[in-house]
Amino acid sequence: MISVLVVRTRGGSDLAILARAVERIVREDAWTGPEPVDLCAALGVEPAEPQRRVGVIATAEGDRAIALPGHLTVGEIARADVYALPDAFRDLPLWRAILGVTLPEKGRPLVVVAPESLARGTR
Amino acid sequence: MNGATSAAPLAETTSVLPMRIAGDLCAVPAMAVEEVLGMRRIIAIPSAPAHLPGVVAWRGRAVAVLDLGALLGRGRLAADAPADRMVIIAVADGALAVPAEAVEAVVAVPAARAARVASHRFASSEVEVGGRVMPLLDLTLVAQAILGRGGA
Repeated sequence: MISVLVVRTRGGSDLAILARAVERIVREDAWTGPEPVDLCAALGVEPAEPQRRVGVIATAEGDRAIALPGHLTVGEIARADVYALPDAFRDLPLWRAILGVTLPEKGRPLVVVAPESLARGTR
Repeated sequence: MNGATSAAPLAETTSVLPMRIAGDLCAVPAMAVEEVLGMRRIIAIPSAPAHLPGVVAWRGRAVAVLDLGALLGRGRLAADAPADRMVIIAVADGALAVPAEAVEAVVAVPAARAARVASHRFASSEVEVGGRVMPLLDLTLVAQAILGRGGA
C-alpha cells in the first residue's frame, strides 16, 4: 500500500501525493523558505479548496515547499492499482513527477504525484 | 505458348474498419484494430495536450486516448459528451484508444489508391467503401506525429 495525501480538484481527477516525501505540513505564513511550488498550477488543475498550507520536502538543495489546500485527505492506494502513464505522455513537462494514475470503475480517479520531483523542478 | 496464364490477376484487397471521427469518415487497416469498445470513461491527465486528453483502462493497463479530431483541428472531444465507441489500435509497440462517433463493420475493399490524399494529414491513400471514398489512416504517420516515432 502507498500512503498518499489527496488533493481534491475541480477537474475530473484528484491528485494523490506520496506521503513519504512530505516531512511535515505547516501553515503557509509560517514557512520562511523558498517560494512554495504551486502543485496545482504546475499540473494545470484547480484545487477545490484554497491552498493555505505547505508541505515541506527535503531535497539535496535544502528544504522546499509545495502549496497545499487547507484540508487534506489521507489515504492509501494499493500499489497494483497505480498504472504507469503510456509513453505518449512523455513530453509532458511533469512526466517524471507523475507516477501514474488509478483507474477506478467508480469514483474519482487519482493522478499519483511524486512531490520531490516537483520540488526539485526536474522534468 | 510461353506458359503464362491467361487468367486475370486477382484484384488485391485490403480489410479496413470505417469509422466516423469529428463528423468525417475515415478508415483504419483492420489488422491494426485490437478491439472496438463501447463508451469508456476517459481519465484526464493534467496538462496533457488537447489531442491526448487522457487514458482509458484496457486489459489491465492505461492506454493513451488519441483525439484525432483535435489533432486535425476539427474540434476536440467534449468532456461531457463521450464518443459512442472507443477503437483500440495497435501502434508499433503500444496501443492508442481512438474515440469515434460511429464504427462500421470491417469490409474488404480493393487495395488503396496509390495517390496521396492531399486533404488528410495522416492518410497516404484512400479507399472506397459502399460508394464512399474515405482516407485510409496511415498509423505510422499518426504515431510519428504524436510521438516522433512509431510506438505508443
